[in-house]
Amino acid sequence: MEFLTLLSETIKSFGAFTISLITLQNLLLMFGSMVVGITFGVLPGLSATVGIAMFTGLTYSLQLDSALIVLMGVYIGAIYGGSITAILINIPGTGSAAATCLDGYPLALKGESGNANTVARVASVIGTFFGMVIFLFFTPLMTKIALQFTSPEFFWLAIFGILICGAISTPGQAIKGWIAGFIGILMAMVGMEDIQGWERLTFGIKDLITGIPFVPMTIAFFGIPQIVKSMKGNEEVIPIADMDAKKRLPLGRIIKENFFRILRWGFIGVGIGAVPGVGENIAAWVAYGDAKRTCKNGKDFGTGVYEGVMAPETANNAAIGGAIIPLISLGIPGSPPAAMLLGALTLHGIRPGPMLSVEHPTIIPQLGAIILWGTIFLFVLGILITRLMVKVLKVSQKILIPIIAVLCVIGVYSYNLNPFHLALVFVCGILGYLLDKMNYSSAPLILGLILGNMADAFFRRALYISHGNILSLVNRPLSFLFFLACVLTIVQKIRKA
Amino acid sequence: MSEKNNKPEAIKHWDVLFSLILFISSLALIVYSIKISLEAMQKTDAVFYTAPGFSTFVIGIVLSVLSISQGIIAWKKGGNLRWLALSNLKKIYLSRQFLDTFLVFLYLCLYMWVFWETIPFTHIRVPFWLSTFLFLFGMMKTFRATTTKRILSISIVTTAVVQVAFGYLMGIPLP
Repeated sequence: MEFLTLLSETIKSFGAFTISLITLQNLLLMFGSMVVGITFGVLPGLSATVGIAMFTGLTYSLQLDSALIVLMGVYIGAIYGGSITAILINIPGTGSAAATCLDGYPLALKGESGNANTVARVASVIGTFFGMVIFLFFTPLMTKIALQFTSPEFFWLAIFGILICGAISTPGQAIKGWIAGFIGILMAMVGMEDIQGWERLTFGIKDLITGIPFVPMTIAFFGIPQIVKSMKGNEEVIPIADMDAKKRLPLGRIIKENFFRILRWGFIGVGIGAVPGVGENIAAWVAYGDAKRTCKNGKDFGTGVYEGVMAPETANNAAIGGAIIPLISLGIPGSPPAAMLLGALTLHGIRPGPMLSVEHPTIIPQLGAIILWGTIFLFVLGILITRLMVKVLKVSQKILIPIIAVLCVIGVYSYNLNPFHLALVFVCGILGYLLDKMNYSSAPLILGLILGNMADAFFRRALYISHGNILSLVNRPLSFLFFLACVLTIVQKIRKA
Repeated sequence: MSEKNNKPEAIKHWDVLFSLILFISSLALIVYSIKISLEAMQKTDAVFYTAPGFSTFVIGIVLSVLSISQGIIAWKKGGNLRWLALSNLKKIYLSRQFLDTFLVFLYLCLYMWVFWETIPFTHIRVPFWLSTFLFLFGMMKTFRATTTKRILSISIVTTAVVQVAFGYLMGIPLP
């Protein structure tokens, strides 16, 4: 009953926020940020994560709702934008669009790139809307459950997130993912620790007392390696498929025939998006695999089938809503872009977690309303600017990347106006580049950096409360369940190796 | 043999080296953790499980185990430190790829440190618009992005847009 009351309050607030967001400033911000987001999504190598990281510091001077509009606009736009390049040049603009290449590009080769883009856009709109609905309904419930969590649950959840992220981000080499994750946790421990107020790993550098900020580190580990790779790579002339549709698109029929599958792909997206650190990329692949198995034309997948575009695009956009659920309710981001939202919320004095619904009860409907507007703009902008994005694709990387580098540097500096962070980003950028060369993924490292302090504090707090009894970490049902999940993840990956 | 073909071959050797470096670093971390924990336990009411070094001690143990595992995996694939002999390293350092990588990092270093506000060890102030322009022009020219005339105009326009958009419209106090 209490939950139903909470839900009705959330929906009422959601309605109110949806209307209150209709101001010229907000609409312009949403428009601009989605264009930027789609551009980031279109350009291979850049991603929603880098885009949000870059803009986080820039939104410091904005009000919270405006900052969230900008960042969610970049997020939603980037996840959709990746499909444009996936369809037109068979290179996913973002990792989440990799599965879209498999049928999107063959469709383009058949002269149906316009139709494929329409399917991708509609699927993205459906997915984003679906994710928003689940976010609105499920987050208040998740927050209530999270209030029952104690230190051991949060500790194991953080460790589980890092283990699963590490295992999935480096398939076949889970140990490399885990090494990256624990290096991230170690980096999180730099600075003054929470319990004793002791300085750790600062080596006398005053600027490290406050720790290593993860938003600039995202640019260091994601952005800098990509800048280097793009500048030194040989630029090939990639043929871009023609945009003109030669065949009528039976969109209504496709949606009608696959209605329940679309719902399932949405649930896949939300479910996988909600797993800490995993995100949109995996959601897209799982949905694609499901579509291939269950669609009537499953055996034609890979030759240019509309469902092969619809499934991954529905799931990867639904994962946006999914990724924000654990972010808001637990303070644990469901994906790397959601991790950047965590930084933005923190910058604006919002502390995601179970207490958020008490301290800021309107954040859930507010975010839901922003996502709804993002969905509307996605539909409109997708029609208007896809052809413009084709022009962007034709611009040489060696022109675009230095400009992106300048934006990255401004993004790092604007986060805290501390030049030391620039030096830190440079040094970590070298490390990130070397790790990338050796096939270490940065995603678990950044997740470790985000969750490390939380894992440390809850770990020692649990032991402090239990007077050093290690069994206190596993003697509650939920904590034992999370512990088991960690063990199973490790055992499964070791057996596979 | 092209660097592309060498890449999977070379990675296993670098994995062995990285695992060794990581293992030594983990041992150093363990020693450091014990040191700061003992200090904290002497100076405050901390016990070993609440001491500041306890978590870093655990991380050190975990990283040492993972580094040994990764090292063994790389060694079983044929990775060895002998590959990192001077002759092979020379091929890497003298390659075009390495030079390009070095140049990108050099430009980033110049932009993010040397030409940021003031040139180090001097009092020479460098306006942000100038360092941005030099960075853009230098990078595009070095990597032959397009014609010099186009590079010049792109650099000027981008610098102006960045200065106006971020410095004035968004109110970021650029150096």
